[in-house]
Amino acid sequence: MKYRKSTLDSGLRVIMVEHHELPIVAIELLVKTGSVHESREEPGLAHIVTQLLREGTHTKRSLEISESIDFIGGSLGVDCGYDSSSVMTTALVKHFETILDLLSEVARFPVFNAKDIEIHRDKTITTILREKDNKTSIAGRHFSEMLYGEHPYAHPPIGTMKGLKAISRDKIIRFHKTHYLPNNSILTVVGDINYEKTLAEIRETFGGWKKGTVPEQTLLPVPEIDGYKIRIVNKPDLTQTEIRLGNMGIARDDPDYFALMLLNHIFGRGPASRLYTKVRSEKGLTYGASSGFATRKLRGPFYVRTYSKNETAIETLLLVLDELKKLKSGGVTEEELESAKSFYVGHYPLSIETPAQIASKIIVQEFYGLPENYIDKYLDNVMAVSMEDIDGAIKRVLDPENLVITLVSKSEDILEGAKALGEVELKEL
Amino acid sequence: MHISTAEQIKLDIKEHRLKNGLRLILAEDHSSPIISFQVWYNVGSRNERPGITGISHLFEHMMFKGSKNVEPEEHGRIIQQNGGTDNAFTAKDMTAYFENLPGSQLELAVRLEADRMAHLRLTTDTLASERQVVKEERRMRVDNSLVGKLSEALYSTAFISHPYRWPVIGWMSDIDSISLEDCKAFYRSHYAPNNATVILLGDIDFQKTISIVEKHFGNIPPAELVDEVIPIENIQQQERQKDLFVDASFPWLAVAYHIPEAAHDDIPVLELIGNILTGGRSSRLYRRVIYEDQSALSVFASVDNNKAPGLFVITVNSIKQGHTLEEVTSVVNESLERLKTEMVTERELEKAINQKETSLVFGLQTNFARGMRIGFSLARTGDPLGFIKKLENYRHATAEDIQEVAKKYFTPENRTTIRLLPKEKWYL
Repeated sequence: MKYRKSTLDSGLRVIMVEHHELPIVAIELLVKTGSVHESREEPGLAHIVTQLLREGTHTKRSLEISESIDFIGGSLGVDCGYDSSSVMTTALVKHFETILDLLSEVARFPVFNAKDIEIHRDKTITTILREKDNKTSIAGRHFSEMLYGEHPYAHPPIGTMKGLKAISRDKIIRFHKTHYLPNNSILTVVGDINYEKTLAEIRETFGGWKKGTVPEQTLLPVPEIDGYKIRIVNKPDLTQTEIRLGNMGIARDDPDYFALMLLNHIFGRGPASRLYTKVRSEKGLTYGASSGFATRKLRGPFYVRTYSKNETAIETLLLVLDELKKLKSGGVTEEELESAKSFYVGHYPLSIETPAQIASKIIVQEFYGLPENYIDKYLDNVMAVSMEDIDGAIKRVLDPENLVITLVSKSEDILEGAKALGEVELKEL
Repeated sequence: MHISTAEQIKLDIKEHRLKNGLRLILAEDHSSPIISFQVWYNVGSRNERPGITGISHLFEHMMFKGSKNVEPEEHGRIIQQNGGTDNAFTAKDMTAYFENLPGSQLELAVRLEADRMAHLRLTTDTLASERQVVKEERRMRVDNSLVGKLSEALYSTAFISHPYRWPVIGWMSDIDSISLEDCKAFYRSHYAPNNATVILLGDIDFQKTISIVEKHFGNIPPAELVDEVIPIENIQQQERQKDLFVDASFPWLAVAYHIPEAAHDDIPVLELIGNILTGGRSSRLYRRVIYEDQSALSVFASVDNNKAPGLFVITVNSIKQGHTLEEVTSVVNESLERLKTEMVTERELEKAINQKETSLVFGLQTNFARGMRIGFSLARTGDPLGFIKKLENYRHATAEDIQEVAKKYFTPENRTTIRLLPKEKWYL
């Protein structure tokens, strides 16, 4: 995998991946600040800051920004996650300078007009209200809230209604000023480029960006779960129940990352996994059953997601719990482990087919502070996972007796069945 | 003015046909040791009839339930063990199966696909279980989804006789009543080498690949393909409207017009219109609805590219409090009227063309994506490279063409409007 890394005097980390198959280029500026860095009073602050970046700068109005990117057929987008925020732009490579300038402009010089703040506050509140029309979004929000309590991971980065109403223009400006710093950012350029020329252009465009003091960020520890914590969210029109359950998982830099990646592959990833085989292929109870570790800076959830018609929802839930318990007590077989390894080894070239895929691996290494040789050692790390590693990881991380269980359904259809598992909290939307 | 990016795109395909009628389309790319192997069957929901709607899709599920030399669900397991991923999808005009995997495993994928084309196991038990899976899929995609409900209502209102009027997943009652005999008959008549195309891209050698495909598929006998009579949709004579009362926080709107089939010359022009209206934040309707009126959360135009005539649809998602469906409907309708009375500007046209060109190039980044473009293009227009040639149509489109096309299709009698209305404000 060919790539270059560099650091500007301002502390801005630069990653470049040269790939000449198509005349295209993609640039991403990742700022190492996300919703986890908001104070408790203002959930949604980091997100609305990203949304407002492209609504006008010192020299360009919102419409001019849109017009210039649309005219060349390019894209300009923003994203706010739990741990980081990004501005991303793509275009044919002949427009490289245009999009590099645009990205620098919107990330560094937004004006945050009062009028635009109100537009986005209203739009975001409507988007949060609309979540109630989608059982997957409802389940996601309630599951996080039950798992994380007061921690900022308790709500999606888009924030809360209450938080959005409380956000002031001053706070928006201050948040941007405090966190959008070169020494808190990673700039990635991938595509049909030339390293020297690209680096020179980056230096010119971002040269004036001054280093600042990145605030010390002390993050709340995540809470512990005791027993089953069950909630039914009542949405009376549903004929199919959304099921989400899990417990606290791991952070991205966890030493058991590779063991758990393989374990999850065996348990709940793809058509050969235990969950899919049992719940879908054998029993026909669902169309989809999967599990995953959402790895973040801090411990993210280990979750199982599935759904089944209300009549069989509890049966499905019990089956999933049963599979989890079996995994906890019986572990995996050597054959399963070998098969998971051979998937990752064989699949590796497919996971680095595009420059964007390559870049995302390098960003992970940089952002989570993984070893410099992380990418070169990736397959060695996969191959090195032993049965003992898997057993140790299962023992430490899987906890089928202490789980958060979120069910979104017509509550009267499933309430009695759910009660057999323990105390049930019933919530209206 | 336009620097021809398309000329920089190298997509050399080679074609071959086996004696049994199986068509091969191959594209070599040795930049990475990987391949995408795809089998496209020329059958989809358009080949169904009332009573067995959804059979193409249910049958696609059955293709994973074992064949002569492969156990149920083993197909995916073997592919994964060898570093690959596999899946399939069914659409109105086609059904496709694919494996993306290391180049060294080519023969494995070929062998597995040939086995299920020739010797599928169809049993009562697997059908019973897969029927339940598909019903859960329908509950997820349609019955418990606003997007699904809107789309189903739209096509079943705009179409009266053509099979596009039912959803690809089929009506629930039909999914329930499809029999094992129906599946066997469907398999016999549609799953045959002379009704399929193999698309293979990546790190392959042309001659060697043909001989591998020949080895595994060559002995599969062709089927006697019957000329199906697919009902033609009569020209819509008057405006149609349907209101659906649903559990939703906000109203939604879809305004649709009948348009011709994918191979028709008006399609590229309609696509450009789609971009002028909603392509990017500077587009006409996006600016008006999202920024100026702030009346909804999103607005998007889509243009069907189907083998038979489809729809041009503008969907407005989540109309905000303080705004009405009537107000938003007239904004949408006025934007279409304006296309008939005023020429679009040169800059707007050029912008739309640039957007089309860029999205084409970005869509060619992986073997899999290239294969998909080729397969869709072939199934819908008969030309595997039609999607690249279409660039020329975009470039030659004029403001006059836009006006002509707008006048031709955006008429009240050709319009179908679907509205999702909240039953009550239950979220309060």
